[in-house]
Amino acid sequence: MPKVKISKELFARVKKFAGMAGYSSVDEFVSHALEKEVSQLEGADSEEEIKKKLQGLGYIS
Amino acid sequence: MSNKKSFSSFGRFIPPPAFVMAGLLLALSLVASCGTKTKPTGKKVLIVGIDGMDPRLVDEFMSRGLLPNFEKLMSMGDFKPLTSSIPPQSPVAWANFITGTNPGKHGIFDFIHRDPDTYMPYLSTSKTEGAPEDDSIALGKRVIWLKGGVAENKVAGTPFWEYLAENGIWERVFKIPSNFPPAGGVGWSGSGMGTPDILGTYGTFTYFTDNPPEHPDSIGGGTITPVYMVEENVFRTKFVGPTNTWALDEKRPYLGGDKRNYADSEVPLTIYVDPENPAVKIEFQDNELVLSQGEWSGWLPIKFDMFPPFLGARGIVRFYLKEVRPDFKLYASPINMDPLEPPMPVTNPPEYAVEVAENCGYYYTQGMPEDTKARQADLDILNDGELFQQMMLIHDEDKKIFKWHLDQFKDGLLYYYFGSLDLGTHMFWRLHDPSHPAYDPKWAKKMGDPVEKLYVMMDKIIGTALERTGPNDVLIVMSDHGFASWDKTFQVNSWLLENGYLRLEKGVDREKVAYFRDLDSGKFGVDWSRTMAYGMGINGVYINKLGREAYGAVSPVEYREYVDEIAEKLMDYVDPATGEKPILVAAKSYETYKGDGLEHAPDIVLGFKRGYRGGDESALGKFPKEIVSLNKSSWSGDHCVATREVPGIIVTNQKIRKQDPALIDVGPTVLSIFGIEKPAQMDGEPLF
Repeated sequence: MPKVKISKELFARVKKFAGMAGYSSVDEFVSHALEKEVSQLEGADSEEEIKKKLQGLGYIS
Repeated sequence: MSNKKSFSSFGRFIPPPAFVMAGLLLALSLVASCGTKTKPTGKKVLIVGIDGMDPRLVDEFMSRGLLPNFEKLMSMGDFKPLTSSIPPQSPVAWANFITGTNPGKHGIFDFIHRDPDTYMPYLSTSKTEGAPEDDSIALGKRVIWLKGGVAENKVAGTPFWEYLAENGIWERVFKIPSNFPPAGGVGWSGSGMGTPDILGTYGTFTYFTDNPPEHPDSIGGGTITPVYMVEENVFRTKFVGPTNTWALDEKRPYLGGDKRNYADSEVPLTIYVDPENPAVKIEFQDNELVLSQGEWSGWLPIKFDMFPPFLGARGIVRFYLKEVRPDFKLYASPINMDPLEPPMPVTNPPEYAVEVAENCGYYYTQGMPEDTKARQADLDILNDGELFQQMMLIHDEDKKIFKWHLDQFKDGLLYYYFGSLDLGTHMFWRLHDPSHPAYDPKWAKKMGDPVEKLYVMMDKIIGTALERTGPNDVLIVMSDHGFASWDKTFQVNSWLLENGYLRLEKGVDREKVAYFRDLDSGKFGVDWSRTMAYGMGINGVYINKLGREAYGAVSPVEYREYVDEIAEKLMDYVDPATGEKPILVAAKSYETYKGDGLEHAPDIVLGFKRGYRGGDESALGKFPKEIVSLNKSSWSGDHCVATREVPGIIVTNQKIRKQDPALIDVGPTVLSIFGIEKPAQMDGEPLF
């Protein structure tokens, strides 16, 4: 599993909010936050935009 | 049809010229509408369009005495099956109705078309495109756009109501599918199915919860927003709106050198949880509302600032408080465009939407607003009962707007569309039919038969229509297609792969391919040089044609040979579990469609036997392991089968003279009632 370095200060903040937000671990919270960020960046790509639009079509699950 | 409207697109939000243009167009349309005086004809034609109403189900419920108004209307005139389009999908069918032509002329063949350059799917009926970045100037963190985006209605041809309007006849056509952006010209119409939400999608709900799933981004059609209780009994969160192309991100204005990183638009939201009762107070912008658990809110306005104070995207949203404790669960509908000031046009002329909203209140502008995605998600975001409640809210709103239209209707044509029966039958077939693989006895016991309830509800609408119909008026109740159970799924791409018509690149795992791309590498997983055909959309098969597809492999000389061979073999395919042949008709486009609009036509259109449907996976370029499988999803009824399996209905107080009435005949019928000669391009014929 790859490791990523973050400052102690940020880690403490993340740890505090991970529990409050209902995440079972800091890892889960960080993974989710990064996934979300990456998906936003992917969203700028036209293919990803098309996929997002299609996802709302009930005929296709 | 005036197909292009230069207003805005979701990628490039209302640049000043377009903003000015919007005002100008509004002014022009006001002039046009005021200037286009209508003349009385002494005739009234009322058409009630009910998406998905099925003749077999009408028969069934009528025989049990549940549809007295249908029975009454039938006794005054006629009741016949109405031939749908090929394939019988709503966008195709309604385009047949709107134009009176076959798909070969109007150019819509499926919900989904494909781009032959990229083999990527896209929604067929409209296209929204932002202006190129060259038409803008970045000044610091601000971006000034010199040109607006374009929204284009892809249905080719002239809507039949336009001929009425051109002849000075009063007409209103409300929420009709396949009409986004609304057809231009002098006709008054509103867009229905195909109208996006404020994000430009077919509907993206937001689900605020303090117990988010592990992979919230995998939910199709919605956003899961985890909420944090940073103060006692207070959640602070936000709505994320359209990308703000008028501003660059404060912290990272550029990505990878000079690629603009546009800012998000957001609206902060504060939720105060009642410490004792299962209730909340929600505050955002000027809104403040109290909601109890199990309660739906009304519409609330929301504005995403783009270039304050000049520009913003206005929407409307409504909430459902599902649970307060132990988990917090708050559903927010997709943010619909505000009909009073929509970022993109939802009616033509624009003031039509304003008039409706001013008289009837805010209303769902998004097409297909019944949030089936929230029910389909595995997270139980809306359960069956809650989805049905939402359908009732939509229907109540529709009823109100229908009655208001009836009050305005003194002469000419009124067409009004109801969509809940269609989506209700899709989702609740499994509660109507105990033999369906996804039949749920618990919910069937709890809810009864929701499909029956929807038919009874529509019967009441017909009752209202009958009350308002005089002895010389024409009343037509019609649907675009019928319905069938969707028990089994047929994956045409898997069939093409296993029969050697489609090849994957060496080493690619068929189950790790989507949109024909290998999910591991992001490159094509399909070896196009050895691929003769591929499936895309719910009913379509395309030949990988040289000179048309980017990596075509079939020469024009071999084209028909492949079409004929594949069509024949598909029709011979036997479901190994039952011995049935799932494909009744494999219609070849070269002998099915007539016209100049064949650019997007699939080469073969699959017409399934009742009970079967094309798979979602195959429709988006995937290759599931099984060619045929049981359908256990809540989307349990469908109509994307063979046209002859699912005719729609026509019930009218007139005698129908034509033997086999079809959707394409309704427009010419209306024109003939008003003494307007059928335009040459229309394929249909008058019915009466």
